[in-house]
Amino acid sequence: MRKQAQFEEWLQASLACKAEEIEPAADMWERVRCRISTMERGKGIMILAKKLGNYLFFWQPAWKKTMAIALCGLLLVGGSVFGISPQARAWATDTFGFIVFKVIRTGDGYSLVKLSSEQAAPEGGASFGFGKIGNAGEIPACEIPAKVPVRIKGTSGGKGTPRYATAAEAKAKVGFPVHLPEYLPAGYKLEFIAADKWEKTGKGFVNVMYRVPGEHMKTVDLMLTDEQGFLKGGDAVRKVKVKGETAYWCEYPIATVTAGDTGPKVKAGHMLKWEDKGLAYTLRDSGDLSLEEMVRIAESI
Amino acid sequence: MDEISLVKRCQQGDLDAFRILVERLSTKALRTSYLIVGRKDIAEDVVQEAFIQCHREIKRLRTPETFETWFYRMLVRLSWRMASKEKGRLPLEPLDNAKGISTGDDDVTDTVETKERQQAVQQAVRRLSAPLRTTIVLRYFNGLSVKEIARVLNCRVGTVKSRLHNAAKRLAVELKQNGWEPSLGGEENPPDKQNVEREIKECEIGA
Repeated sequence: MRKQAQFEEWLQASLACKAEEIEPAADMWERVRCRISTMERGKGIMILAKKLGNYLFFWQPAWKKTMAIALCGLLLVGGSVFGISPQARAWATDTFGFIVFKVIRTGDGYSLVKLSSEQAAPEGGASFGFGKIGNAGEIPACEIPAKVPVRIKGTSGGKGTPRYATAAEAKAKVGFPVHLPEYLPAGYKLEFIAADKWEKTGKGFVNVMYRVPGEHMKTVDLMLTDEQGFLKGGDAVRKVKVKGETAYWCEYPIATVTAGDTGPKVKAGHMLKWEDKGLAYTLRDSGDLSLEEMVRIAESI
Repeated sequence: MDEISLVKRCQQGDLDAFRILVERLSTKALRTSYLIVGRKDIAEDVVQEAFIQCHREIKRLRTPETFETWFYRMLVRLSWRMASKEKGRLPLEPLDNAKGISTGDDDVTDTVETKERQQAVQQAVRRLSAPLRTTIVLRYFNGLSVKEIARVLNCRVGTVKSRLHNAAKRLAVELKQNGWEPSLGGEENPPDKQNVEREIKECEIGA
């Protein structure tokens, strides 16, 4: 007998012998029939020996696979459309993109230039961005780096800064005399006095806000601090005199956008900065006060 | 009644025909599954599931002539799936060492030797990987040709040949380690050459 044949014979005999260990159960058919009947009962409404769902949904998909395929297809189609079509990309940028505007100083003030998202890096001027103009609401005044005032954190008189009813209370907090202007243009009322000290330097600041009631953009903001080097930035700087001392009058842009607007707007605000008895004063106007009026306010302090 | 007519009747929803089909196939199917998965309880579940699946999908079978191949394909896939699910949960059934050994006076030595050899072969088969073991079972227990096995396993004829060759090689090594080696008979043809020749012939017939 050949070796291979003998080997195969061994295999056949062994497998046959092993297989004989098992016999089908006597009720095998009954169990299968029972399962089949159960399945058929659970099939639902039968019409002409066919499940109703089979008429309505002749294709019975595997949902996980279908969802995965649909998602891949969507990504593929979307990628192709936006990859190929510049119009689609432009539409997406307009619809979903982060719109960025750059503030540019012109001969008679400021203007806004709309930038694409790639050009949004704020080099050589200020820029600000928001989602949809219609939903943006009002944004705070734009602080422009380089030639515009640099606001030091914690001097905004915001909610985190303690507020006081009188100048004397603010003085007790900061430790230097706080004098408020005796003159204010018609309509301006004191809104709040905020004062605090910077933790790192121990220097204090006082922020006094005046506003024309009901006029959001008509504000005058007086800041005084014993921190040196506070006077920075601004455009169109002019030297003026306040109580015989040199002061600086300059412009800064204020960009606003309100709901329902067609686009953001930018206007010039003004700022008067001077030093007196070791204190740095900054008077900022968001309205349309003239230089003379601002100097008059400053001299009344 | 022949198998093709039974399948056609099953496709028309004849449950009696399906019962005959189940009764005809159940023993072979159960044993095939048992040899593949190695456990009786799983083999019974597999066969039951295979028949239910068969009843559900038999209407989709376009060529009733290929019913057996189609059914074994389902059976093998279910066996693999169930075996992989149950793997590690329960120990494999122990081999019955003494079962079936004849104690007759004349041929007791031969019978014991045969039984020991069969157990050695069975153990070696159990140690094969699932694809190799399935190929061996389909070839030497079910007696399917290489081409039929390729259809059942949905792979190439060459793959089946390769699996048969590898399985035989591993089995031979294992048997040799246990002291079992087929003895050479009168003819001098090397077994590997004969095997290759036979496989080529089968392939030609199949093609």
